[in-house]
Amino acid sequence: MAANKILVCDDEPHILHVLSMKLTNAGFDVLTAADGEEALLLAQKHHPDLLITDYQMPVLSGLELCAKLRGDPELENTPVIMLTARGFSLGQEDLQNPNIKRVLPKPFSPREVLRIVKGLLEGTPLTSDVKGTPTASIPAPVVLE
Amino acid sequence: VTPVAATTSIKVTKDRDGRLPAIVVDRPISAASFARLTEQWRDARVWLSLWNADGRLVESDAKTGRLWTALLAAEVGFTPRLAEHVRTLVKTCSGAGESPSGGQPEWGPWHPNLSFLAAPVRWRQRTVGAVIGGVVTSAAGGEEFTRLCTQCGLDREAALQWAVETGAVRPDELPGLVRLLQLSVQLSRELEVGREEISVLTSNLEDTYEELNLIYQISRQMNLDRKPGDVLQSIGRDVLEVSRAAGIAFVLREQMPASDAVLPVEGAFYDDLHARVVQVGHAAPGLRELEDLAERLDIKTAPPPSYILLNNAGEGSELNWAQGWLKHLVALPLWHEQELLGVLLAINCRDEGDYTSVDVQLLRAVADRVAAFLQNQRLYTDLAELLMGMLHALVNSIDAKDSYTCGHSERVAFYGRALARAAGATAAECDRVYLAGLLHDVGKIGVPDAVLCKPGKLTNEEFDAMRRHPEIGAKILARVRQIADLIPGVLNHHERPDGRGYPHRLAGRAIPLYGRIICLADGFDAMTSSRTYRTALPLPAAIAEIRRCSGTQFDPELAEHFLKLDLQELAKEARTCQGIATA
Repeated sequence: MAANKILVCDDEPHILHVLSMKLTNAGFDVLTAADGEEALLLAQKHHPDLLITDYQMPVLSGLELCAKLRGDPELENTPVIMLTARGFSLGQEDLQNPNIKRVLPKPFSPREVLRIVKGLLEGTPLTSDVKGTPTASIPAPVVLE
Repeated sequence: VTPVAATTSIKVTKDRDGRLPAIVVDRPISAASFARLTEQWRDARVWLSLWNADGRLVESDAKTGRLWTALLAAEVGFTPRLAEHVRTLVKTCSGAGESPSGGQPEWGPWHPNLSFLAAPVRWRQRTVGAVIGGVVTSAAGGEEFTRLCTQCGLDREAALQWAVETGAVRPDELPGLVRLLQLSVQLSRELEVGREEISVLTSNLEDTYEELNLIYQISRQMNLDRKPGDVLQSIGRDVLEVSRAAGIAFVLREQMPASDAVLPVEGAFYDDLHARVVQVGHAAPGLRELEDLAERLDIKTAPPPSYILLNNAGEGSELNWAQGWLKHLVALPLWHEQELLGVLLAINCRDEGDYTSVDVQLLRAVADRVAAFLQNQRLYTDLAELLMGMLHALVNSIDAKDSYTCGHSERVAFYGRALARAAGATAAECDRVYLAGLLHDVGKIGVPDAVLCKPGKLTNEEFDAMRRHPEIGAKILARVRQIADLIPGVLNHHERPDGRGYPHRLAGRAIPLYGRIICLADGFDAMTSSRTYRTALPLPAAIAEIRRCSGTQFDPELAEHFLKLDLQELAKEARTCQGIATA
């Protein structure tokens, strides 16, 4: 079985490096993009199994990117993990997009991200990560398929 | 036993002069980079080989350059000469300067038909190897070429064929090519160094992220409402995940409170060891060993920033006894404001490496927070115990006025809590009922002793004085914000469902719940205790009495819950538990 493809998108290079190292070491194929538009182009070309994206980015924000994914029949089911420095300022209606499975405030624990990624892609049951993280207080996107 | 002193001992293998080992570069350029280079230079008809600083051939382009491969493999040939050339290059290129110097040729016609281009591989100020490019400088053939083939034992026809395959370079192109090769090797090396550095930085950043999250997580777990043992357990688990430790242990000097509740708890008492030692992961064979270990570490006398770091712990004569299980150890004192509260132990490295000061730094951040938490926990417990102690002292002093009511308030509190629990109240509500029960007669302090302790029948006036105690109690408690919610219990514990109680003749559900609960608990204790004017009712008679008065004196629903309890056992417990409750 080919490795799962993950697209990571953030305008901060150190975030890209940390995530791509963590995920590559775990055996995933990682693509990186520095803004929402680049991410969309890469997504359309490579059809990633999962997108991890920052919320605030130039050109195309994380939410706009998610909306574009939603509008593309080939990408509409791509699960998304949203990273944000302002987790609590995201409105309830912003998180209605069903692609957004989790919201993680920065700075996040790379271990935690890996655990969530595995949970979403491999169906590994999420255990401790739901418990106690600030994301738990954002009700909508915690539901997993 | 000689204590292990609080010093640092990091095991680093140094050479005889005490220097750290020299950096050995086996491979001046990574295989991937060299592969990229060879591919680029193949098109320019340059065949590349990679050499390390000792003049050892690391790798050469195997795809083309069969001529070169054959020449290198030949016993009499170019290998020794090239090796010597590289060694000289390394010697002359080390130190300042960008390119080979000292009159050493960077390229040269070593043979009428063949030339070599030399590009040093630099690492910081040192030259750690070289890339040598071989070129055929003119159409091979002729006498010199034939002699070379004979010398090296090559088949002339085959060698000629290979030389043609390789393609020739004009001699006037050599100076330009060598500059380009040097630049391309240097860039390729710089790119590689950059990548390595990013990867190291990224890995450090990742660790920092994890540590930051750990500290954040730990801070959130330090909830004074939780049992300290549970808090230490979950902190230990988090530290275990982020650090390299195989086991984490906290050895405290004082017992942790067995429960967050300050009220007397039935059962579940920690033994001393479990109340002082918390172990997570694979730390030690048992708690006793951890305590022994903590005892032997001379961490108590060491000033706050000290720690113990041992990477061959079991071998130390002081810790010989732990040889079977102890290899690596970091011990940090849990200090809070000049006071040693215990020790944090990180035992054995999961990755078989050694602990370093980086591990210590992370553990110290944890230790500092744990110490602050333990201290807060202790202050909190102290305050709560002080409050309970004062309350008990107060009600005992009232109960003591009359030898017949001795322990009455404690028992009412105890029955009230049991009843509240049976009626489905939360643990927090049960604790409040307990306090309300404890204080229900506090107003008797305002009733004259002559009335309170009168052995005979009370007159109407005396009864009136007696009946004022719920209101007096409510007034006394109204001044204390933290227990204002108990007032309904105190004020209404003599109200009756049939409306014939006092002080306000409330009826049925108009009587607050705490009042109804304490009324029943109070009544039960009164019946089952002796008074000046009668002896205690036997239990079956008391039960019958509660049943008879259900709906008139006692809330019928609560009476039902109460009668379902094992009252025999409860009454026995109430009378034996008092020692603990008043302690």
